[in-house]
Amino acid sequence: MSNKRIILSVVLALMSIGIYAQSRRISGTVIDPQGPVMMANVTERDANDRIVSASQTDINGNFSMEIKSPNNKLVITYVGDKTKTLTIGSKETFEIKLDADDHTLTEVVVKGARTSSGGLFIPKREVSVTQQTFNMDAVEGMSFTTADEALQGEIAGLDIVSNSGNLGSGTTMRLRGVTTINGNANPLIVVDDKIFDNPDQTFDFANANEEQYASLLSVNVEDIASITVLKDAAATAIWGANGANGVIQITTKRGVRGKTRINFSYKFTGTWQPKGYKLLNGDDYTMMLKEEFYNPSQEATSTTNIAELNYDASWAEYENWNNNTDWVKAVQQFGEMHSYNMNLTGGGQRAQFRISAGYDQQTGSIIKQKLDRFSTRLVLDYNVSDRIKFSTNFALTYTGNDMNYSGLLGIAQQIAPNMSIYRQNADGTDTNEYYIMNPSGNASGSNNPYTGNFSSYEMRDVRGMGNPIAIANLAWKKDQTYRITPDFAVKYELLGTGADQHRLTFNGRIDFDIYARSVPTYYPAALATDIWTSNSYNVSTNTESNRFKMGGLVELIYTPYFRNKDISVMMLARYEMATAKSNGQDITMNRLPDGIISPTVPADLQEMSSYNSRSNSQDWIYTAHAAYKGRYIAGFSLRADGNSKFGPKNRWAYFPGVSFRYNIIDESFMKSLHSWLSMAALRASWGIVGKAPDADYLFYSTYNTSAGYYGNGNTSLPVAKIDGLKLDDLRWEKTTSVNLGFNFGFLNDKIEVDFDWYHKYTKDLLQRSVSIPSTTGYSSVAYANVGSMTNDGWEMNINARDFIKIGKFAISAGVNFAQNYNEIKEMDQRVLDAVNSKWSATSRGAYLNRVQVGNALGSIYGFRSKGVYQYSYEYLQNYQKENSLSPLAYEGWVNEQLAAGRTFPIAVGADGKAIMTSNGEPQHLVYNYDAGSSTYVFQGGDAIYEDINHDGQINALDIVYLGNSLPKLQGGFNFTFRYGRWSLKTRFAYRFGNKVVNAARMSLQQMSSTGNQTAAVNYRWRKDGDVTPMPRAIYVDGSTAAYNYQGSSRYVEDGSFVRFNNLQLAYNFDKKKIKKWGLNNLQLYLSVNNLWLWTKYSGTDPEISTGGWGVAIDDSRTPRSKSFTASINIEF
Amino acid sequence: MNKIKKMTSGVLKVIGAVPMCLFATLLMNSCVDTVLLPDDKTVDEDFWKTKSDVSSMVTGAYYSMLSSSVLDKLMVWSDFRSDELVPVSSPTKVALTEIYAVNIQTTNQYADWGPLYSVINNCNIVLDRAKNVMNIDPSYTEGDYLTDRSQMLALRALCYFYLVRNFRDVPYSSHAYMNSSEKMNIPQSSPDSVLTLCINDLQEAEKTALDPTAFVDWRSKGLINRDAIQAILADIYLWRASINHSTEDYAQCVSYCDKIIESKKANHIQKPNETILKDYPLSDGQDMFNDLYITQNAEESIFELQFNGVNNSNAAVCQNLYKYSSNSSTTGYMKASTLFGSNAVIYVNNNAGKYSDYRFWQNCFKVDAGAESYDVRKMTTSTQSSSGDPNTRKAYIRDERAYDRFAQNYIFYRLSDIMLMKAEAMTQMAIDDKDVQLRQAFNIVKYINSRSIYQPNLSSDSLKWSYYNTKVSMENLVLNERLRELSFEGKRWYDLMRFNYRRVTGVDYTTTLATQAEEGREFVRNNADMLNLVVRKYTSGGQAAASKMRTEPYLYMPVLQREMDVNPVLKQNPAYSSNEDYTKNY
Repeated sequence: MSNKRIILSVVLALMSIGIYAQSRRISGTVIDPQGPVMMANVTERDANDRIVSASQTDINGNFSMEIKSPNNKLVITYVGDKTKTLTIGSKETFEIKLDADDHTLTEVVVKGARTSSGGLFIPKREVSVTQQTFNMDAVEGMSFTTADEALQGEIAGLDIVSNSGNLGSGTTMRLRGVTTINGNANPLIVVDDKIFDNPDQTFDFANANEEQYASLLSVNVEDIASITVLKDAAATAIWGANGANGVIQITTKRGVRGKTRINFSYKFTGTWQPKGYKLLNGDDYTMMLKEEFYNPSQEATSTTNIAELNYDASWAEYENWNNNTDWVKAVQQFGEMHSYNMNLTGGGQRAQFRISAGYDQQTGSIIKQKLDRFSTRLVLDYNVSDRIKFSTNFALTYTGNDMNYSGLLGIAQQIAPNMSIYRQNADGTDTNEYYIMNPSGNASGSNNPYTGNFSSYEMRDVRGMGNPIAIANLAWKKDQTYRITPDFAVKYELLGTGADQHRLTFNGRIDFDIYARSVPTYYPAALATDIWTSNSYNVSTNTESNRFKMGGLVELIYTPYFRNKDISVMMLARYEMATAKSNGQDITMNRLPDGIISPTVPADLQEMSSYNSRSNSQDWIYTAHAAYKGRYIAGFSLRADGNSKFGPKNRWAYFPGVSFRYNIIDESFMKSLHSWLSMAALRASWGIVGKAPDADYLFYSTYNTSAGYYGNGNTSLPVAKIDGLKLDDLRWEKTTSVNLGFNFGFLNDKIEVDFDWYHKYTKDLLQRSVSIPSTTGYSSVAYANVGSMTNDGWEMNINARDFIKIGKFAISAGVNFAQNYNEIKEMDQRVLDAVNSKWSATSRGAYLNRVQVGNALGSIYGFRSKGVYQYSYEYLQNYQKENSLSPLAYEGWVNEQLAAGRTFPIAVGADGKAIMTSNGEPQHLVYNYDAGSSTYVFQGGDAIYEDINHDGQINALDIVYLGNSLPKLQGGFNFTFRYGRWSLKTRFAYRFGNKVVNAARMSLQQMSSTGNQTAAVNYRWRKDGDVTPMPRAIYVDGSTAAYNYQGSSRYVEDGSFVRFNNLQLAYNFDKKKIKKWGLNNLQLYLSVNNLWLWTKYSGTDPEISTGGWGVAIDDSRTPRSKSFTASINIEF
Repeated sequence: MNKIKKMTSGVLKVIGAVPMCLFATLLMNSCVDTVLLPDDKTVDEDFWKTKSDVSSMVTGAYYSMLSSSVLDKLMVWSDFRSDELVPVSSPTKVALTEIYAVNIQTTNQYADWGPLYSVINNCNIVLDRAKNVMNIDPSYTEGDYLTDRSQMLALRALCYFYLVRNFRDVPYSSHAYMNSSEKMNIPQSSPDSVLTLCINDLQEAEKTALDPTAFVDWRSKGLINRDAIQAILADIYLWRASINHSTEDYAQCVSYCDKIIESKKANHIQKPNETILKDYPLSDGQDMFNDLYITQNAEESIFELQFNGVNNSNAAVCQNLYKYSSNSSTTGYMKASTLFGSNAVIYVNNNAGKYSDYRFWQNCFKVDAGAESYDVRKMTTSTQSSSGDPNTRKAYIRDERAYDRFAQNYIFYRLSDIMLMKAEAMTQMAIDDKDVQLRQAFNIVKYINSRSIYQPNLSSDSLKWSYYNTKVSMENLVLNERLRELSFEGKRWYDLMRFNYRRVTGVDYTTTLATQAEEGREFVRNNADMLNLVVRKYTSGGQAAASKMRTEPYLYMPVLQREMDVNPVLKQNPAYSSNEDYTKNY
């Protein structure tokens, strides 16, 4: 209903503008000093300066036209002459003389460029909040799928980490640290003043950061004019409850007045994967596995039945298991991206337009990845008169992302390299059929490769991974999204239009955001030799979701006119509302008939679910900006947010922001410095922003009245149940921040420096599903306010434009630094206990997830690794027996050995001496002596974990802090060299001081399972005395676990890096020359992306983000690819 | 003149602005509503308006007890902790292994009392909100309200009784939790005070209880009626009597048992083939199994939770005793202990093993045929038993019953349980071996035993008074008969605990264990006879297990660590409080 009402009121509003009029004919001549003027425009305009009727003069300067009202004005314009305005009155013929316009050709110098801040357009030098604008011209010709990639390393304090090298996987962005422990910590994306959020309601931000729908995919980079990042709370306060993580404001290009121009650009990008770990080949792999299987039991027969490792030519599958397959190479490819963009822009005084269309076709650097994107945007501004302007911005994006069904690179790294991709003939030649392992044998060994068509039980993990090439080709996952974001806006000057009048501007806008997504997947039976009753037999799923969002905005901007020119004031009042509806459904069908790839067929329904949700929000905003002499500037804003998720007590939240700026440079005492100092300003701001929980209906006790039936037969009784506690005391998560900064400009702003220091205090942190005493009848509440934390930091941004200029040669440079310290100030003990994982003796490779008051999020805890035991315990015992050492001599000898740096699995005291047992033996070091079942005695070749408390056992008490996942310093720098029409741009991004858990390496060097390993394991410990950092190979079956890959410092690596993001060479053709070819503009670009990475990190790429509470873990995601781009930009 | 013109144009401008403002106002009005209600749920503001709202919340309270998270715990607490059940060798469940090894960690899933408190809170909500519905919906009469109230009071008391028997010191709350701002941290109360509150509630409930004859369908067993309330009362009195060695409580137990027996007799409908009216309305041995566990809702049943297999499935029974995870599972998580094997320790009557007891063959499968052979048949088989000599018919084979839609009721109280409670109480009330109450108790036990004996062998195999004519032997007979009759029905561990409590002195049920520990009091040592009974199920390590259960606190479950974490006023059972003196480096 509400939609209809709005549309109706728009129509009414439009109709009321029409004014009753009566027509009359007039005529006349137009002359100027040169004589009669031909083709002069004669227009009749009403009081609002709206054109009511128009005519043009003929060859003799005569015109005649019908006028609507004698009260209107007659306006005569001609290029080169001054515009003349007359009142019509009762006159019927006019003799009009135009004066020559002397000013037309003088150069117009625009001083004090205005920029948007808090909804107001204010001079750049009066901006009192902290924001940084990035002009997309700087990366013209480079290839980015989404805008955030372009921002990496450009904005001080904005930490951007790409999620993976898979197509369309998006980035994780953190502005000035993390202020939330739950939900989305990415900054708010705003496109043309409209919130552009992730419409995927079901996405859990706290626990994942890959595979989400990258919202920015829906904005074509080519359509973006500039990006402004709002950093401090005074700047983001007008976004209130949405701006808590900072705001990235994207402004799209609009039409410009002038001749219609057509711009066409084409980009070709070639991508390839960086070099990863060197893995074992088939021969080394089987060698290692045999050792691995032999070590635990030391029985000669331990691998006799594992035909896959035995190179046994008599076995039927032999040819498929005698290879050296480079699986990683097999899943990689040279990816190509073709990007076509075209736009049309132009317009006259009345209307300006820009129409753009873009088509990207991209293939991944991993096989079978394909991304298609079609986007179009239409921007139209129509000035009905000086007072009224209508605008519309209509954008549509289609994204079709063909993804891999599962992570191919991960499988390729782990799968047996002696296996073949295709089934092989007896002569070793490939057939055209993918090789799929036989059904798994059984634990008892009665079903093994030699007793029938089975694969070894021991190799079941390898079988479980599946053939990655077959998966790539036969299984699929297709992510398709459509997003349409139209808006319609009207602007109406209610009072004066000139600079010397009071101005009151009304803005109204309605916008829509329509989104639909479907993700069908298919996993055919052919990928596994399972029987048809298996749950994974021909599985097809489909996920559909869509959302309709509508927003409305009305605002009044008041700019009073003061006779005293020193004072300038602007203020804005705005009301906004938004309503959104979304729904979706999932369906999983398995055991489909062969050849059917859609879940629409009624097969075995495995799972089906659907959801729908609605939300409403509204807010009021008031902002004001005042300046005195352009020197003392103050800004104020207040936003009131109403949200249905809170109870009446806390439904409305108020987010104020105050900012000040003092342009000290304008003081008279600074005059003497003006020769070199062009700007010196101090800024201070304070503000509050907030955050609401993601879930709906929290303030209701809801009764599920269809929970089921109780009873038997046809007298069963319906059942109702209460869903959970009503959250009547939930509060908004609020972040108060203080920002102090200064701006300097040198040499007429050639060099600009700005520095900001900030302190952010977040209280009432929202946490999802917080445990409560179950004596209440519930185990948790959906949300609770649980604690507070702070973020302190500073950032500096230096830009030097053409700071070296010698003839045609010029250099520009930019550099930025940012540091952020996060600290948890207080936290509900319930949450700490629930979130903090406890050490479990049976888990492997896990790092404790701990959040501690006084520490930062993302801290890593684990054992401290000390290498590998050189000698076994038995070595000591044998030595003692052989030499018949007395206990005292034995102890002495052992300590001697220890002093010599040899390592044994024995307990060592704080003094570095062996701890001896009462019967004169050194105390054997044990793992977790307490908890019975998982106790283990360390052996030679095992990984050494430091026994921190020297109690002779490795357990929870030996866990120490190993570092933090958050970078200490991050930012970027760039240099641009220009010579005439040539330019060379370089862009770098860096992060320092962050630790990354290299889980990829952990699984590639664990030597306890059957997955392939890196070539480094060839240096593993094999016998007493070996000095190596690589422990022995020891196979560990199922329930019992290995001891050599505990979460320890061995896998915690420094993730610092400097990345040479882009190197671009551009040539801009001389306009005069290309005029001959009918072109206005012609540019050629050649760039290389991700050219070089300086890092000590042993994995492929240390650019790993953290999600929520967790630590940064490199779990062998597809690393960011390397690429080059060639592009051409033509303008007609 | 100019001035006037300016003014008029100003007015015009303002008039021009009117439609805009109108537009703005409309826009605002249409969407100011920030109250959004869900489509698929009813909110509290719209609930508690009609009789059917109350009724569905009352059944909702029962329904919350159907959850396998409740029944699974009841089964483990009562049967698995006793000598009845042991874990199967595969699959293993860590939580069960811990209990079996008497090494219960505070993270053990069976230490979670939450699901029972969820039922309690559902009762509390009805008790808190139902009364007001009478003012709104005239069809909801005071009579309706009082029976609803009676059921909720009784169900709540039953839950607390389970909590007390398994945790001893538990927090007591009769507050309906609806809002997150309410005070949630409540300390543990002494078991004595909780039981007293339960008894008061039950006696209150009894006054307005549902009449056992009110329904003839499942509702006569699936809802808590007067018989059921009295059964819970009898059970609590028997429990308290055993702890406090109180004759009055035993007498109370007997008097409630008598009321139930009278009620059952009075409501008995004579069957066509029933020529002579039976002393007790119990089915005969070969029919008993069909009536109670296959047809279900037998006449002799008093209160059983209803599973229809359509809207709900008894996953707890199915997974524990039958198929642990899917239709293709060949075993549950647990199997019967060797007590139920051919040695038939528990079926020894008159000092001689007798195979003419139907129950010997009906309870378990393939007696003695291999290691995993003692899986439970009671409540898992759906095969009707045939008549004839059970010794020749042998045990049931495993019939293929589907894993899901496991329509198996869970019986809380039935008549033979009540009769044996009475026998147990009377045995205790007997002053000496000459007391006539012993003989009366014996007659009750004999009646129950005899109905399960193959009729032709009745004269030779039924119980003989001469073997049981002392108080001690009578007590053992009742204990044993309860095991035979009520095996796997959630009774055994409590029978053993009562047996133990009767044999020890110094139990202080009015203070919590944590208080006793703080005061430095010695815990009461458990009775060796009882421990010896418990450890019969171990093929090895029985004595070690017995020594791990040496004092009273070990009879109870620990408080789940998660609860300890979120509620600072809780005190851990001293048997499980760990030593936190070590310093960690993180």
